[in-house]
This record gives sequence, C-alpha cells and structure tokens, in this order.
Amino acid sequence: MSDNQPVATDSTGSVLRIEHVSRWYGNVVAVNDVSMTVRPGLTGLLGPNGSGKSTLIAMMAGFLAPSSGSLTLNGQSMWRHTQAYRHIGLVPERELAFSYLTGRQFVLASAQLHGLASPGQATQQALAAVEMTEAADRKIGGYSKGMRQRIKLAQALVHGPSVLLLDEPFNGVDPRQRLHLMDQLRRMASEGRTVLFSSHILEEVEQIARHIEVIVAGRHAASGDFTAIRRLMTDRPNRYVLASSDDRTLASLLIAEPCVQAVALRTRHRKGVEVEVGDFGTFTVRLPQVARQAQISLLEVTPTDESLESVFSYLVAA
Amino acid sequence: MNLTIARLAWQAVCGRRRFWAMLIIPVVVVGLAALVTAMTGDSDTGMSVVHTLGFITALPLVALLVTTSVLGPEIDDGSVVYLLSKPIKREVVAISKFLTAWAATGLFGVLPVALAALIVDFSHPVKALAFLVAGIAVAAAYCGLFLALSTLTRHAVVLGLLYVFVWEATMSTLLERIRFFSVRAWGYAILALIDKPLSPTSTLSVSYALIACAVVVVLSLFIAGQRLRGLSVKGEE
Repeated sequence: MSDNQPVATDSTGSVLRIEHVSRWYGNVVAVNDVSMTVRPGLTGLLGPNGSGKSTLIAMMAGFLAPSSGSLTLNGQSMWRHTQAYRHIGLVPERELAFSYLTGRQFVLASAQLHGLASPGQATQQALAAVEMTEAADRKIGGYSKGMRQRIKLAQALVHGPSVLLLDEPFNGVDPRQRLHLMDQLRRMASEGRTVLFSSHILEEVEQIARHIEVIVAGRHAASGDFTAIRRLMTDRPNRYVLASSDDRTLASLLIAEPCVQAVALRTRHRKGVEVEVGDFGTFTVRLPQVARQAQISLLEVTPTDESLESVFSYLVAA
Repeated sequence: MNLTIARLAWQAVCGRRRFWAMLIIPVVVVGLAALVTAMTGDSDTGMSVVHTLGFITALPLVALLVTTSVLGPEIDDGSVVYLLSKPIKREVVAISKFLTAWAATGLFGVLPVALAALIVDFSHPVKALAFLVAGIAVAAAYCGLFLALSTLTRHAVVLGLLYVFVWEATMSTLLERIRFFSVRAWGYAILALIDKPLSPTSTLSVSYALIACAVVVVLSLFIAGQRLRGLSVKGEE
C-alpha cells in the first residue's frame, strides 16, 4: 500500500453534536453554553490560548463530562462510552510520556488495543502516512517535538477512524512536515471522515479548513465558512498610530476621509496620531495619497490591535 | 486480561529509573542474608535477616515501586489518555496492570526472599516454600492496595510508605487489633501455617488471611476500574 492510500477502513459520515455544553471548575467557566455540529469534512477549531479549545476537545473525546449540555457521536453520548473509540482517533495536546518505547512499539500497541486483524501492517501504514518509518525504531524519548507529534498522529490514524480529533496537531512540526500533515488531513476529510483540529494560529487554519468554529473565552464566537469569517475579521475597525512630520495637519486631513471613523492627537510626550479606521482597504490607499498631497512625511504606521485576541474580541462583540 | 496493556505495563516497570532500585533491593536481601549466615554460621540469624529485611521490608517496598510505576505516572502526567482512548474496558486495564505488577513483585520481591531463605537454610526448604506462598499472597494484597491508591491520589508512594512503615510496622505493635487490617499480619498467618517457627506469635487464622487478601484485591480492582471509568483528562490550556 502506498503512502497516499488510507491507513485502514472504517464507516464514514460520523456527526459530532454538541448542544448547550458548559464546563466549569468551581467558579471558573472553561466552556460556556457551546452548541455546534461537526460534520464529515475538515473543521478548524480556532481560538486563542486558554479559550477552552482543549477542554471542548476533551469533552468531545469522552475524557471530560460536561457540567451541562450534551455531546453525542452519531446520537450516542461520549462520556464513559469506551466502544466509541473504535471510531475515534485522538491526538491530544498532552505530551507523549512513553519515552521508554520506540515509535513503532507505541503505534503497534495502539493497533493491538484496537483489536485490528493485522496490527503490524496497520502500524507500518500509519508510520508511512506520517513519514516516520525510518525513525520508528528509535526510542520516543529521543524524538524531536515534531516527531512526537507525528507519532501521536500515527497512533490516532492506525485504525482508520471515521472521526479524528486533533488538539494543536501542528505544534512544533517543521514547515515541510506541516504541509505533509495538512495534506493527510485534507485527504482524510475528502474520504468522508470527520476531522476536527484546533489551532490558535489563524493562518494555519486558513491553509486547510474551509469551515471553522471560533471559540473565545469559552464562548462560541463564530461558525461557518472561513472566507466569510476572515472578511468579518478584516473589515472590523482597525486602530493605528501614525507618526509624521506634521501630526496636527495630518489629523485634520484624515478626519475628512470617509474611511476614517475617529482621529485623536496623542499627548505632548507621546507624539503621533491615533486613527480608527472603518474601511481598511480604502485607508491603505488614501493614507499615502493624503500625506503626499499635503507634503507630509509619514515616519511610522503601526497597527495597535492586530493581535489574534483583539480579532476574537471583536468577533465576540459583533 | 489484555496482553498489550500488560506488556506496556511491564515496559513501564523496566523502563523507568526506579527499576534499578527494584533490582538492587533483591540483590541486597539475598546478599546480606548469605553474608550474615556465612559470618555467624547461624541459620537462625540469617533467617531473621530474610524475615525482617526481606519479607516485611523489601517485599512491600518492591510492590510499592512496581505498582506505582504501572499506572500512577501515566495518570499524573495525563498520558493515560493514549491508553484509555481505545475500546478497552477500564476494568480490563486495571486488571491487566494489577497482574503485571503482581508478577513483577513476585519476580523482584517474593522470589529473592524465598531464594534467600533457601540459601540460609538449605536443609529446610519448607521455610523457603513458606516465604514463597505467603509472599505470593501478600504481594497480591499489596499490589491491589497500591494500585487503588494510584488511582485515588497523586501521593500513592507516600501513602504506601506510611501504610507499610507506620501502620503495619509501628501501629500494629501498639494496637493488637490492627493486625486484622495489616497485610503483613496476614502474611504471618500463612507463614505460620506452613512453618510455625517462622511466625510463632501469629494468632490470625489462615482462612481469615486468605479471605482478607482476596477481598483487598477484588475491592481494589473495583475501585481502580471505577476511577479509570470516571477519569477526567483535560487539555493543557
């Protein structure tokens, strides 16, 4: 079997349904009334660090009981349902601690625990799928972070699950391997499997998933086609700090521009102009034109809220 | 019993640093017992080394080291999720881990004690047999107890040490009724049945000792299985 073929077979078309799920620890709410349906295909679970992605995936995988609400796989509750693991492949964010095993032993054990008819063959295929055949007989303790990630993926793929849950699977993986793993996930999704992966990196999700679910501070902030959500993110008001040869004149000219929503001169000690922009695309064209016409030199243009968190905050508020 | 889980558990026992500590303990027991017997020429003195150092100290210590190796670290660092995300009943996981720990304790804890007894008094192999049989029984009880502790608390090693060296060693000498709840006392009863001089003061009946060992094993496996069934593992966020 070549590397591009499925590692095994399983029924496809599985649907994970999450309905009004919350999870709290004492007074801390980790996941707050989240509802979503994860269907066959590739779904990206996007959110900043600490937003509740891992908690949600742990509940989807049946390793955490929801405090309220329900999570089902094809209509069956996941909590304490060990037979569901026949259909689920899980790549937790949790680091591999089996340093005394070789990669092959680890994946083979996974195949055997799934009761596969040919565990050795399935192991070989899973290792080939993640390009770990050559390093398979080395101890996991000696693996790089990227190799550990790939072995984690191999043990999740070995039984050809119809549902694949991956928590930050690209962490520590080098760019070439990342592209390869992305191809693998795309292929599995195209076979009709339900593939959900989490990430806090917008560009990472953009590269492979068309459908995304956005989680912010435990809340379900957005759901749908990546392009539409990305547009919502790009079209939000952006803030910039500009430094120029004549801040006062530049401020008066910019407030006349329809694409600018607000302008404020900074205080004496912090020179510059703070600008809130409504239409990012038009602003990037008009700013240099306005400056040139007034013979003002732009010394600095700095976005002040480009962090992913601020993008997510905007989505939550929207 | 799942052979894959048992194999992984065995590799966990042999693959961790504490394996070397487990290997040193039986070597010390056999070596010291032989040395004392050779130096004193008195098998009774040698046998008291086997009894004190081997049966009531080394054996529970090995059981504790082995049993807390097979499950505790995986629960503590969360990597147990890789084992539990498989279609295997959690009770089977607990039983497989227990049987592996029991076998390893037999190998590194019980056999060396019996071997030491044979070296010390080769003319009375019944003493070695007594340590072997009693050792197998108490090893089961210790392993069960420590396995359950591993699923209940992160401090299984500390609590295990407290049980062996405070509850059994100290408290039982002060309060006689504690022997009903002491694995060591159950072992004494079995020793006395096979060779009375090995444990002349034992007053517990051997049937009570065997039933108590069995109850501890069954109860511990039930607790461990239930704890694994309800084990919550969340992400690192």
